[in-house]
Amino acid sequence: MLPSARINLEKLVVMLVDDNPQSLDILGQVVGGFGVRSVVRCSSGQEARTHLTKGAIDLVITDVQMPEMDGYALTSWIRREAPEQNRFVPIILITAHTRKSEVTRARDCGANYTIAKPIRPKTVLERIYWIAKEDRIFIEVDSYAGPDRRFRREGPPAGMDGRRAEDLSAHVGQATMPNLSQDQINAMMKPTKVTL
Amino acid sequence: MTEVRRFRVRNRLRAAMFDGGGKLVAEALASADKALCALSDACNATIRNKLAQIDAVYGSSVEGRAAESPRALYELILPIIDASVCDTRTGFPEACSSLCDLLDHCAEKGVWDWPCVDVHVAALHCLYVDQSMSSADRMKIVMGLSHLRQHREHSVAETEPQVP
Repeated sequence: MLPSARINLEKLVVMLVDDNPQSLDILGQVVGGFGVRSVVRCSSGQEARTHLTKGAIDLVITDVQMPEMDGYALTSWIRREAPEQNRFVPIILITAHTRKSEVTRARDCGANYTIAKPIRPKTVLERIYWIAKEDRIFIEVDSYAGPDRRFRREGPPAGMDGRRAEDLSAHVGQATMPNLSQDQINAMMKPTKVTL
Repeated sequence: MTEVRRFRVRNRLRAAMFDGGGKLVAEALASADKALCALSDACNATIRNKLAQIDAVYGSSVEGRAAESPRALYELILPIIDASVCDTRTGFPEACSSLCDLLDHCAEKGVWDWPCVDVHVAALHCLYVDQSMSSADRMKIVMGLSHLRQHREHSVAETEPQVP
């Protein structure tokens, strides 16, 4: 994102969701500074749901830690049950801290990006810019609905046109040996004392 | 086998954002930073208030603090991280995050560690109050907290019953 690039966020309708009024003020000041004129402020997931069923939103920025309906639940609801006009809306999650037990929920809820608090304007604008520039495919499957999470394409190694002739085939053939027993696997994992 | 639907959706954000007009990225960032400055006093008041609450309920000299909920302490840290948006010095939000990691681990394992909490709270005060500390020294404190936490997690893991 070049500082000299030109952006126009004036026509966007941005929804901000946070149960902490001060945090909502912070987000409001940030997106207002970016030039957003139309901001829908919601203090809970339920309130956000109500607004999302009424009108089109161009971007949702939501806190994660909220009582009753948290940011993950709100995101999952949007991806599965929101009206068609808002089901694919870009969603940025903002979290002060992610508990270890919630990492999987964060991965699977269907958000475009997650940002760690404290909010830095540069990070927020960068993510908005990335969303506007990217061309990610949407995936819908029983266990997930949202933008494709495997979107980083590194390509072939530097200096290579594609796969090397000596690379192994991507096709996984039939197993040539019997599977290891659990005891054999345990033995491989067992820490052993080494004398140097 | 679950059916997978793959499709492209119209990027309304792109259509609006690059439609001409607007402002430069540098201008947008400067405006946002300036707008945040207006909240600086309120944010600092929140941080001071929450730190005072932590001292009053979870301070090292408070009797009966063990009866308090670790979850409630976790909830007190989160608004501090929110409010440290105007504090551009390194270290303070990282130390808050380290305390959250510690509390999360305590809650997960059901093993409470007051000395470790005390060190974190003391570090928070130090990082917030001391204006003259260099960035390098601030990061040393954060690294120290990280090592302390890892040492503790390792100790807890060693005392756990091993899966045969």
